[in-house]
Amino acid sequence: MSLPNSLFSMTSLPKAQFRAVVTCGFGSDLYPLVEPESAISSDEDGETGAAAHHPVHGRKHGQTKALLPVAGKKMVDWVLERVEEAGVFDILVLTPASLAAPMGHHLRARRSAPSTSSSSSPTAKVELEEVPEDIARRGCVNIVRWAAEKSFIKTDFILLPCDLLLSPSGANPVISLASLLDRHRNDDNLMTTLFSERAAGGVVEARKDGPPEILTIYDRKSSTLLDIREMDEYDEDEVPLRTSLLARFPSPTLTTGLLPTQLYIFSSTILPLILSETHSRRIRHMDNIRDLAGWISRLSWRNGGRDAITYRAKGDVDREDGLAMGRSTTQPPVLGSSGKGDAKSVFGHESMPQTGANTPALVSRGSWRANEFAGAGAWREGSAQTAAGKAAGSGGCKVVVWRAADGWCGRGNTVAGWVEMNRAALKLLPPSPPPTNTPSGVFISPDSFLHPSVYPNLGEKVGIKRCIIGKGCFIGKGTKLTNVVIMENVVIGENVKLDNCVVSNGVQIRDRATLKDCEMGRDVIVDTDAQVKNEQLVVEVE
Amino acid sequence: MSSKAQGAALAKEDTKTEHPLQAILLADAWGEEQRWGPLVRRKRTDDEEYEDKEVGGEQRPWCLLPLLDTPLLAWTLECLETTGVQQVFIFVRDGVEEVRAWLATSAFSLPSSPISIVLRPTKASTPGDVLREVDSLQILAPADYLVVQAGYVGNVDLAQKVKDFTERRKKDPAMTMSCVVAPSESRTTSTFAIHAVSTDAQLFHYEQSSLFPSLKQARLPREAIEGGKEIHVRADLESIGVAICSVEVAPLFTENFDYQFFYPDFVNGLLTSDLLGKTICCTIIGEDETTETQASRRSASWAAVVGNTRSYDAISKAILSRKAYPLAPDENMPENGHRYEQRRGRVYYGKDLDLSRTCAISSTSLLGSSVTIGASSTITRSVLSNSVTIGANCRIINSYLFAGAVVGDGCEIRDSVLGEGARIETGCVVESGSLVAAGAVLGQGTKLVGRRVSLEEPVEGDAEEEEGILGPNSTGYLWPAETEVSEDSDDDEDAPDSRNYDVTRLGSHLASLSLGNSSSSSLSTLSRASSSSSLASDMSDAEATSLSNPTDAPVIQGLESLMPDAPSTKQSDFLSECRQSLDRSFAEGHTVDNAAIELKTLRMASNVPLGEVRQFVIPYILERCGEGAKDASAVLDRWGGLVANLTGDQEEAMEHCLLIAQRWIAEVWAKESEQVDVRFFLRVLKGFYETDVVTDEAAFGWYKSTEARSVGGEKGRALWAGSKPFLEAIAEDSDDEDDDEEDDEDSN
Repeated sequence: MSLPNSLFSMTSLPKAQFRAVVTCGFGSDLYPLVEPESAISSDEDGETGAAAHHPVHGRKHGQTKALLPVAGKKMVDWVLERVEEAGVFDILVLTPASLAAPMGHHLRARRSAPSTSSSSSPTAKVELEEVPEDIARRGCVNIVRWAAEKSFIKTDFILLPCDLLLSPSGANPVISLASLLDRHRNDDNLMTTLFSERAAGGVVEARKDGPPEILTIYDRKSSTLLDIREMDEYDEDEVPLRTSLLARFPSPTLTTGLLPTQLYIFSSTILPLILSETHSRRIRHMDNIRDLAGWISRLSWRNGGRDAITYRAKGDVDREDGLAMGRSTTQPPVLGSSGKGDAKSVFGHESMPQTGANTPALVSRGSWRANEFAGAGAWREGSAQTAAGKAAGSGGCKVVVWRAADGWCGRGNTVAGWVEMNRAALKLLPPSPPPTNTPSGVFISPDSFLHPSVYPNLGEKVGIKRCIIGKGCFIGKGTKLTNVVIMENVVIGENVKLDNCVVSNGVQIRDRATLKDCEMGRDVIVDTDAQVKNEQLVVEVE
Repeated sequence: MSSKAQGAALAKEDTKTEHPLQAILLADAWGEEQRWGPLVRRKRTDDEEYEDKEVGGEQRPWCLLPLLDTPLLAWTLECLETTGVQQVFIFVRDGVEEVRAWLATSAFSLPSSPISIVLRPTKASTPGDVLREVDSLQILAPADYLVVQAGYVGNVDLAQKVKDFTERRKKDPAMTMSCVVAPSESRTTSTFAIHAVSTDAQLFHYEQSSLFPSLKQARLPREAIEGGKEIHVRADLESIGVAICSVEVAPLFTENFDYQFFYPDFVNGLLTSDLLGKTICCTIIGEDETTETQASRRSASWAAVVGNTRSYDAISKAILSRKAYPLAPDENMPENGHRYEQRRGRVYYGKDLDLSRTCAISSTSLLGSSVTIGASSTITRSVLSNSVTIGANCRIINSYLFAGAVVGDGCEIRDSVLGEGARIETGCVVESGSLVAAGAVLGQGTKLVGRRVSLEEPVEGDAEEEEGILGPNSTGYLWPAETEVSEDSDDDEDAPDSRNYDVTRLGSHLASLSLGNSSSSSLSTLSRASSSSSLASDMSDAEATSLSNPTDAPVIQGLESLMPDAPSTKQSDFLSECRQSLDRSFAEGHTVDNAAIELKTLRMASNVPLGEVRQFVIPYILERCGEGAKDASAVLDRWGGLVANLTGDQEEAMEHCLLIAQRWIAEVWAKESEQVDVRFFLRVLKGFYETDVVTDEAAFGWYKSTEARSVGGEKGRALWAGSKPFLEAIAEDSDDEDDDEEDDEDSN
């Protein structure tokens, strides 16, 4: 899919500046919603007696983390939609080889039936790559390194997990992926990342089971990220702070109130760093992208750290200037090398309104350099000095903080997080028409979401408060559901009471069962009159 | 009684409880006056009498030093008066009579003055003493009050800040004090201070060190950060000499009689004490403006305190740049002093000027009345007080000339201060923070670079050999340079790094050192100083000073400096005992553990630092290596553990071990074998590495340190160069997961 571009003839369209890289993990913290890989494969082995490459095929509703339903969509769809909204149409999905089959299936299905997202943007080109299992198990940093080695990532890239959801509170969000991209581009950052206040993820109380305490050090004035560390790294009662940091950034903010969203925008200059042999040992041992980000941000203030990254070649800035100047009417036309005929056509185009839709903002700087810019005018010489001055001020690792007031921001990488994510996602859905064909006596609170296919399957006098119910579910009469998230094809009997539960695909809950604070793995069958409290229920596997 | 009267009575009751805003003004500079040399009265010891004879301005107490031709005390009192302070207690130790005489003639003692001033002579030698005195005198009303250092200048509404503090104290009664601090654009003091404040400006941690040698790591208390809290670590805040105190402060000083200063004694005493349960907050000037209602009315708040010559310079320039508005030379001067006329480029003119047509006055300067300037002279960024006379073809740059100073033709005055009536004859050059006393005369052709001239004889009396500097017909004595004095007079352990003086002197250009935009080169000096100073922490003081100053003493004062230097018999006792103990251990084949325990007992008994033990033990073991390289592996395999016991797992100590070994092989061993035995050194390195005397990081740190390159001269350098392959081999093996230490050493 290409955009109309006033500066270039259609034949030499520049390639996109950004590539979105979505990593899909195993979801090991989502038990019992997602079963551990080993359990699935052993199960598979038993059934087929062969080396299992497509373990999920054997069972009907096998769950992959990225494909967990979130308010009626798959988890990964929320991310992909966000990326498309931001105007990035070159998407790479990295998934462990063992999960590639269901992912591929889903992505193909998604392409044939365009998403319901409100944006009328053209469908993105989504590529799926299988990451060898042994690399996938070594964490996200190694996956990125692998992808860079295989040349799947060559440009600036956006790295984001499949389980991130941003649900802004206002109609016009201050922070969106698009605004982050703009910021990254304008400041020519090395890395731009988003952090969220703990409160924004609704996991304040659950600190014990929730994400670990992360110490984030950043400079408020320049929003430069300076360091990320886990508090557990400090075993003493004191937290050391290097004065070499203070020498460069005299008023840093230290906080444990922030969590990384694991959304990172990296400049392509980071790639040689990731691939370089000198750092390979260090990088191989990082299991979390956060470690990589922390290390990169430390480089910006460490003595000699800047040398590790060729922060920006002067040429980069020249190109930026050229990009900006390309819009200028007072500057000589940019296309020096491409001849007069082309230049004419360029001017012909320039009368077009420069709206957001046809601004070639997502232009790769590399392609500028190579194709059109080789013979640009002499004014570039003059700009070089100012550019050098500018280089000192901008760039580096920047952090954007998502405050609790900005809305919900969090990750569905734990069961609690996934439940919260469901609730937050509800607010993003267009208001659905009130159901018409419900049986008598049914009460559904407005903060609930039911898949349209569920309405006919409700029994009489069903009460539903603050629930999310996926498609194909049956709910028997007299059943009361409060604070429950139910996936798909769940059958609930009569006069069941569920409070604060999570119910996976294919679960059957028989009549008069009462469950509170329970998490049910797929295909669990709860007997009649069962009374369960605060438990994880799963199907026992041999 | 009518209800109206009742209401009035009630209102009266209310006003009764409202106490006047009081301030304690500390007139003494607590040591800063030393930096002013002959321009103010020097501090004497208690038994030293002040000389009766009038020696120019040299008997002037520090607080009467003129800032833009107005005494510092007047500035501070003016600032307090405008902010609404009603009663001031001035505690004066030095020059009580002079201060009293000045006060009597000043506008502050007029009956119309809204401020009542009580002058209290005191013997206090620190702010802590003053507050103890305040506590015992019971002169303060039971309300929050200000403690202000003379030299404070600013347009901050302190009364409002006190009210804010009182409000805050109502909510949090444990709040004891508020430090009033301001972000500093350029560093004027030699203190590197770190404030860790919470989002609501409560101070959680305070740490200070001198600039040189500087701190390497600040250590913040974990509980201040843990649990989703956010704190701002500020290394850019400077005290402006004002503290807002609650009634508890003075008694706390009395209870803890060892508190001498607010920073760091009192602040850290309160912050680190679990028993007191008191808290401190910070009032940061110029940052919380948006919340204030007066913000729109006032220009941005600004405040600072005069201390050394550098801050004097900064504050003079700030006032001329109208930062202290409404205090400005053309609008408002303390005591309703005469006004100046403002010209273009922040130049202010007094009355009755006699300026040559060809002279040029530029950029942030002030000329007092009756100033005379000769032809073709240029005045830049300087303050010329009343009746200053400048000859022709002079250049006055960034200097302060007090009233009546006379400068002859063709002089250059740069970054210097001339006292009242000082006379500079033709063709002199006075620069780099020179201070010339009032009434002194510099003869023709004198060239002063960062020197001080006084009418008094220097106490040390060692200026004779430099007689040549002062031109003929000079009046006055050349004082020894500031840094020399400080190093001579102080004991070794307190000896401040002379660079601290250098950076806080007028005219030193700190651009490369100021925080925030420091170049990598200055950073490297900073970090080098810091790393070597921590290395020195385990060593003797004599060595520490030589090490912390690598530029002065590139060669580590290792064995020689220590053994003959070890002055006390205790240490020589220790060495001989040590030798005997080791002899025994080697002869009788004790285990490493036993030998280590024995050494430890010896060390404890004679209170010798670990570094010194290393200095002895490592050469001892190396001596036992017989034929050098051949036996080294075996000996170190057997006894390396002993050395490992002496490092305390400190990387600096490990590097120190390598330095000692390197030095010994380069100097002692090479003398015997008459060659540079790289092989031996490599064996030692290997032995150290294998017996865990040194870690990878320490080995790299050693390799990268400057000392490693310079120890033992040429031979030492050869050893250093020869060790490269070995270190590369380690680097291959080692996992450089945590590169912190390594990175900092990179700067070398």
